[in-house]
Amino acid sequence: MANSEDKGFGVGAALPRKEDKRLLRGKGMYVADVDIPGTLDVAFLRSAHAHGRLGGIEIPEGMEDRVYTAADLTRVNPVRVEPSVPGFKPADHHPLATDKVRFAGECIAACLGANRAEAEDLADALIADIEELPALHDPVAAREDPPALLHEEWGDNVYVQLDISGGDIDSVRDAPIVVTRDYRMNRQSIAPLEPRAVLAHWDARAEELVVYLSTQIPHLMRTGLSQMLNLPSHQLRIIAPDVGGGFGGKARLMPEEIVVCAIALDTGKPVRWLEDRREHLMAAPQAREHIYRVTAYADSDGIIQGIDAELTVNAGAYALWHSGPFMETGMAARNLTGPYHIENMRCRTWTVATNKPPLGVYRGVARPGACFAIERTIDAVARAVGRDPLDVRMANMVPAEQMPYEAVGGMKFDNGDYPESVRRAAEMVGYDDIRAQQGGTAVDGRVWGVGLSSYTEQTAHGAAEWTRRGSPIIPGYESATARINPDGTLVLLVGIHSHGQGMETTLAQVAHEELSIHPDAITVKFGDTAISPFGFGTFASRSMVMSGGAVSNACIVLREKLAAIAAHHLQCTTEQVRFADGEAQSDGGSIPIAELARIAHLRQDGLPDGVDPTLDATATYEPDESTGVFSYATHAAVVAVDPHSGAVELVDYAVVEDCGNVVNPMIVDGQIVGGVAQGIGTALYEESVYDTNGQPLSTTFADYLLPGATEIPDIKIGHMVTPATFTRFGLKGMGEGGAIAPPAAIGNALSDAFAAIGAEFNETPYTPRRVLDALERAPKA
Amino acid sequence: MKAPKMTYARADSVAQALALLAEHGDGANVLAGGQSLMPTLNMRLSKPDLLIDINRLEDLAGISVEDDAVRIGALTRHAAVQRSPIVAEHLPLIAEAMPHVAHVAVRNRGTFGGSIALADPAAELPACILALGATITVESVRGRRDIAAADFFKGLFETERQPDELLIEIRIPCQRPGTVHAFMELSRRQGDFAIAGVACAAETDGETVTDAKLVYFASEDRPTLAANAVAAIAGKVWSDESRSAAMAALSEDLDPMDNLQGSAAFKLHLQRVLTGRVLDQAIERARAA
Repeated sequence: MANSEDKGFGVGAALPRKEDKRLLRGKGMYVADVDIPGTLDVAFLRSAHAHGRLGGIEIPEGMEDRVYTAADLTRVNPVRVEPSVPGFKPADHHPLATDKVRFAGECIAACLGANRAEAEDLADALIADIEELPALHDPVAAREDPPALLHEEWGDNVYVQLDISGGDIDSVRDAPIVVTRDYRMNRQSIAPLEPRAVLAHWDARAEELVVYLSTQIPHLMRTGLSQMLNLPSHQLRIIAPDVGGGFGGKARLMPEEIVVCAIALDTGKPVRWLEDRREHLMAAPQAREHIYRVTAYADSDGIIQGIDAELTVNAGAYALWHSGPFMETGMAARNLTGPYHIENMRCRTWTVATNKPPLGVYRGVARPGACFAIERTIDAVARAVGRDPLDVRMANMVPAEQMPYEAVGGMKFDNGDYPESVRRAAEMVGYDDIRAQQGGTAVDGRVWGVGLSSYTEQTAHGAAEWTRRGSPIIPGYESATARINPDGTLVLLVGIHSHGQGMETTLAQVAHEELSIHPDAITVKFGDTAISPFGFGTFASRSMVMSGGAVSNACIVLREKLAAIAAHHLQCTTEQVRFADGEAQSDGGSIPIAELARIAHLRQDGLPDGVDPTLDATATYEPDESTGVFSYATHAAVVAVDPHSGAVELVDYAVVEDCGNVVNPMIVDGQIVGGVAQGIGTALYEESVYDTNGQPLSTTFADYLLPGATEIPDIKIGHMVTPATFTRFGLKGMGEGGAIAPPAAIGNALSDAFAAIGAEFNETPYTPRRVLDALERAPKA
Repeated sequence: MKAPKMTYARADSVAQALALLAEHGDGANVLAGGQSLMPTLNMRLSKPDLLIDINRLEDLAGISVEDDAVRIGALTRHAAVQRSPIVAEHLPLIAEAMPHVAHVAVRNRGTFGGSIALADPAAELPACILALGATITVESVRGRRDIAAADFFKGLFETERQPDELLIEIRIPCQRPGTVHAFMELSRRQGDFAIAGVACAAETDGETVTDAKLVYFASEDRPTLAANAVAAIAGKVWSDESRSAAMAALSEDLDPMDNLQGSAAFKLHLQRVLTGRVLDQAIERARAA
């Protein structure tokens, strides 16, 4: 590493975000800001019915040229996802419906207009002949007793049934304490500030289709679009400019994107589609909808010996490219034993198709559900044995001295002190004071409760983990090009994307760590397949570890070359050269990197023998072990509940987390707060409600409630630091964690508030109606 | 979500607006603050031929006191009502309700008259003016007329205003000595439409409730006066018993509509909870006065 003793700009510095200069001034550029003259807008005719046979589509006379239906997309391949998972049933997903519609909001036709209003006028004038079929909305009913089949050739409505187990669950059936609970985490939207967006046009000079796309994964999107459009990759350029939030919602290839590209190829004109909020809430990828039945076997101290569970996940109508929905279920099952020392587990899982929009991946992926199920169960076991949930939680945890530890679901926990995070989180919200206060009378007529929730977050997993999952694509590495310009400034070209994560700042910090170049002299470029090497993109809490490692590796190559040139001029060995303050230094003198760069590019005569000109290196990085590094945290929530109205106020919230060494503590804190806010949404507000006909009922922000500034308390954050042992700089990913624990922490706090009457809160979101229902159903109500 | 094709006319005078309304009637929509109308147009739930923009009609904005009543021009922005010292002094019920009317950005643009004319069953202001016995003035080319708030709200988004009439102003009697007010609502988030709510104007000495107006919103298809609940307590000394009596009698006044937030029974329960609380607060205020 370069010699940067002070943390002014390198790894560990709370450097203000480089990207904020433009973003906070409104100078960001999103797909909707791309202004190409003559661009046509697309509006989609979408199915008004959840399930039906599609007959003809009536198009007003003279408008045929402005309407595309499935029959017009002859050169487009349907999406067909086939993961290496035994028993997974694939199905063709046509970007425009052919013979059937399978959810309300599915695309049937694309209408072109000089602007969006005109395109909508045309879409309004189309008539689709749909013969309605019974709609499947509940996944358990859809698998157990289906009134109809979504994909008839399957014979049922199950994408895949999998049993995941470890140890021997039958060996613990005689345990003295047996606790069985049903949990339901309802379906929600992903709702980034910027909805989906795509603009495609054929560039005749470059002979390529240029696709401006709001995506987290530009390179993978090129791979996917290339397959669907039958267009070779050298004729496809994906540009993902500023992206207004992704959270997983922009990490899958969607039908609208394929259709817009196909129309641009067909017409030769610039064509765009900008998703509106209503479309987003009814047709974008959705998340969650996990239904659990969990039985815990424990001894009389509440030490859990085994978990037997059933999990049904509602994956919606179609499998999205590239992975399909199977990972949601498998990840939830494998994480079901949480950070606990539980040796026996069996989880039967069903990934079910229904007449709802396809399941995508959303911050936390699967783990908010698994965490909810196990953490509520821990508290239920504690109540059953008459101990405080804090004590039972800590007693069941994998202790620091047992690390590394392979959990029964196959997760290889690397290191950390899990119980300590519980102790500290409880301390931050004054756990004991609340317990004392609960004995007295609440001053404001409300009932107070405190709840804890712990989790581990597998991050930066490489080939071993993705292969194990059966993923069709193995995103086990990242790549980076580091290029020093003739003036000594540095450009980093990376395959990840940044849409809130602050990667323009943190990757510059990594490069500074290696080369000592000032961050102001470093530019991080991404989001354009024409300029960066292939990379997978930003998802799965991987970018800091993976792309940071790749940047580090590329910079080390440059550093070695710079050292060779510097040694030549400083009359010393390369080993005697060190880098600080933008200079190569030796005991005898120094030479600025800018001068070395000038020599490397413009004055070949100054290069030592055997050193090639230019300073340009591409490198990849995969952690030394590819099973992932595990961040972990405990969240503590304090609620005050009005037992008459069901109103819940979150009065305090604390997070104690450990993500190893930290590149930028300010950005890490921002990621935690943002994640917790989304988790609070899952816990208390957000729900994509469907009626029994599969009609969406929450299609505007008046009905789909996101938490706002008034709903989020100040989040207290405490850090623990256990450096990872097999990643560069000892980092662990941490982007998703904040969203994992809140539904469980708040559910536990609510259950704690009403422990005296035995009320339990096992379905999210905890709306006033559900709170009052839970109180009414309480055994000792 | 783009509005359908329509003609836009910006009215430069009330007379011009009335002439356009006379000509187009049902085919026209009046655009004031646009906080409800614009989303409705963009979602194409409303497809008028003509949009009459009255935002330049400054005569319709303003707050003044005349003959023991506060006159609020129809085009007065919510933010202006919220900031008004006249409203704070003479209409404390309205002042207390204002922060619940959506969010700052909506209040900056949305108008008092617009909220009354729209008659959203979950809106705060229709309930308040009904509780306060306001009079609504509408005008058409046929002339001006006054409508009592009790006669104005006819149903779901339905009012006594005829298609050719423009809402001009609302006159609300100043709060008299010896009366107290209280306002409460329950909503999922601050600023959301209520899931239950009540506006209360009561005559009480702090012991006995002589008379009261309890108007419920976010419940029926229109703001609804609860006569039976009031009858259960009128003339009685306020006590736990009379509180329970008022709450019990409410089922004879209300038959709430269910919605995404909950069933009719759930809503009736919430309105009962609010009934006890709002009367408690009214009594407390009377005692403090």
